[in-house]
Amino acid sequence: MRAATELWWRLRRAGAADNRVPGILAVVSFAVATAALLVCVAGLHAFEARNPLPPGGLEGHLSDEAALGNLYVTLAWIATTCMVIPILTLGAVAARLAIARRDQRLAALRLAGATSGQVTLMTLAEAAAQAVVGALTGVVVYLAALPLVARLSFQGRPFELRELVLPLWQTLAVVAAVVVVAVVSGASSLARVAISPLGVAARTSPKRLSVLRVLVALAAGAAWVLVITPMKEPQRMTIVLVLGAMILAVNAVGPWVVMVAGRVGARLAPTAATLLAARRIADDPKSTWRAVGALGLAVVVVGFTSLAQVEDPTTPLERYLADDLGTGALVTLVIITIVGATSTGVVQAARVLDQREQYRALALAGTSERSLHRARALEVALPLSMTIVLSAGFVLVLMLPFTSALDSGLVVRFLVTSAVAGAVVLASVLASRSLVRTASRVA
Amino acid sequence: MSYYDPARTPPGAPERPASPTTAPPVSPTVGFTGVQASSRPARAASPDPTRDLIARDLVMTYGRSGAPAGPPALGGVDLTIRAGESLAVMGPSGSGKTTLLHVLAGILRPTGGQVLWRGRDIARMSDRERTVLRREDFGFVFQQGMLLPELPAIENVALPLMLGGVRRSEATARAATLFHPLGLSGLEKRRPGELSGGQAQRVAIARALVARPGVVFADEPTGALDQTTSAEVMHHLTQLAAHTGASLVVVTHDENVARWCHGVVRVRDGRIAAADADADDHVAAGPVQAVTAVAR
Repeated sequence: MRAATELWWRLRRAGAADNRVPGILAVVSFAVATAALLVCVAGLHAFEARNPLPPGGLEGHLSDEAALGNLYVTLAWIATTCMVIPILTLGAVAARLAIARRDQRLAALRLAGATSGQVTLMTLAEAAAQAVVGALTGVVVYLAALPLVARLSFQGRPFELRELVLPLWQTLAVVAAVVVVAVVSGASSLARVAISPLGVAARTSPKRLSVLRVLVALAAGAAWVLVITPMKEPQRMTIVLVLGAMILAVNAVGPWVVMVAGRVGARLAPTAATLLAARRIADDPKSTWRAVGALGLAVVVVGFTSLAQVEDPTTPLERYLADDLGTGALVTLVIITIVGATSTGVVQAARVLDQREQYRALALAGTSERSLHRARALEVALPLSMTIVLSAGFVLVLMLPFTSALDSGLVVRFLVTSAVAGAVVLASVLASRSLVRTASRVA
Repeated sequence: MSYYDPARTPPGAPERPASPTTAPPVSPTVGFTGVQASSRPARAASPDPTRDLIARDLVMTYGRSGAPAGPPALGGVDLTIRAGESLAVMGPSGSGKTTLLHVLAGILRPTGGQVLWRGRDIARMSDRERTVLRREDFGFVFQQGMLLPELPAIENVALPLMLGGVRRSEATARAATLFHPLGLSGLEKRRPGELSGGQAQRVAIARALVARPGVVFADEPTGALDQTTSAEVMHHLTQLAAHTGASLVVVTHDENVARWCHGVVRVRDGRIAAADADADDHVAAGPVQAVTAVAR
């Protein structure tokens, strides 16, 4: 064991240059995930502190002010529910990257006499170490971002720092959650490597995803329309639960839609770059969805919150509500866009690292670097644009029962904001350009 | 007429009457030991600078600028690969044979000397020009197919044409004509992960030849295969190259692989130590001067 540990350390140091980029990307991802999660929880914390439950609880008669305060807390819960899944997905993606490209090292460790259990332990320890470094960096980023967050004004006044600073135990709980996500998803990736210790990726025709996913999503949609819409004053937890179910349903149907689109795209693709992009999408729709799904969700959240209008505001608090909905939606979108862009960047980087030999072979055979970049950009742009269009359409349809006529100005603003967020995520592909350049260097 | 017609020899390609090209297709289930050196195919007569690949006094030194240079990887190599001919480059590990292949293929720029292809010096071309050259004039076969795992076999073969701007329908049609002669009928839609090593390598051969390159470079094309499969792959590689008129440069450790080629050069310490079969006392059937290999 000592020899194996020593070898692990030597390989770590020797392979440092080779693994620097994925290592940095993994740490950055953990940091972004932690900071985003802390900001979400801090926001929720602030709204709850600001709007304490009235002495008699939510039962019985509520003053207008208390009812509105309760609405703010409900909305904060909804936003947090929407953000948690993409944030945790980012953590899982980062963990996969942290242990990607370890095949050779694993093989060397086995040859040195390490058992499979020891190798697993060392690799997970490394993923956990990266997660801890990333999460602690994330705490620093969160603290540094607080003054900026404190400038946001809700309910007619900006946040106070003391509203936003989380108690130590909550901060540590968030750090621990990120590390746990890293270790769990790292272990699930390693299980696949352990089955094939040589790391030979024998890609076969991808399995079709089941149509059942579509039925699940339709059922969730029906539940929303049938359960929530008729309720006059739905309970906060009911909304959160049904919304959570909706998000899971969207995550179930998303990869299926991506797969179908990828297959159709592959059949119709006129150029090499489009063909490659479509085949990659159809081959691994779940991973494509992981990259773009978060943004789809963000568009849905922003759509719901920014298009909801306050009818005939009478009190000052009600007037604030209209502005606050817009601000809240924007904050949610910004956070999810940052998280989505990081996810996309990391997924793309991991793919280049996984396929660097094929990239080199393509370059040797005379494929220009530009063609490789174009194929990658398309690989993100196609599902991204589709996701945004579908999500926006989904929102517009679902909002119909709530509003008889949507404000066209708000709709345009919603669509433009969504497009800008999409552009930011697309730009994250640029982060792995240097990896493509390295992988496709012929000499 | 199909894109690939085994009965047709393209204009200008040398006749290859000797046994490798006329040998019956080899089935993987049939034992095969390769063609004897004494029956190596004959070569065409006179050199032609407008169609041959000519290397003159190639020198290649690795190392950072400013740092003291180590021994050169190539120490002055002269070589002519005639149009339509096949040449095996042999030598121990570290002898410089792969460097030679990379310099000839325009992957590496030599420190000194010339590589003339159709009258132009590849060594003086820009990166961009060499990329286009590799895409349009050269084909590559690597030790392990290096096929893209997410593309079915037929799309892997059609890819070079599509990258060169050929319409997808035409690229796919041209790719499809190569499957039957390579014994790959029915495997068009398989992914690389669903093919055997020999099948994947034959798909790689189809990909290397689909754009009708002037020269095919193969770096240990059978390095990952057993002897029987290896003979089968070399049979297809040499035959298809001959029928499309492409020259073939094969870097190999394996004498059995080298025997499929018109000529052999042996590289040692960055220099050509021997041309043809001198080193193992076999005399090729063709005129020796056809491959000019000078040990300096």
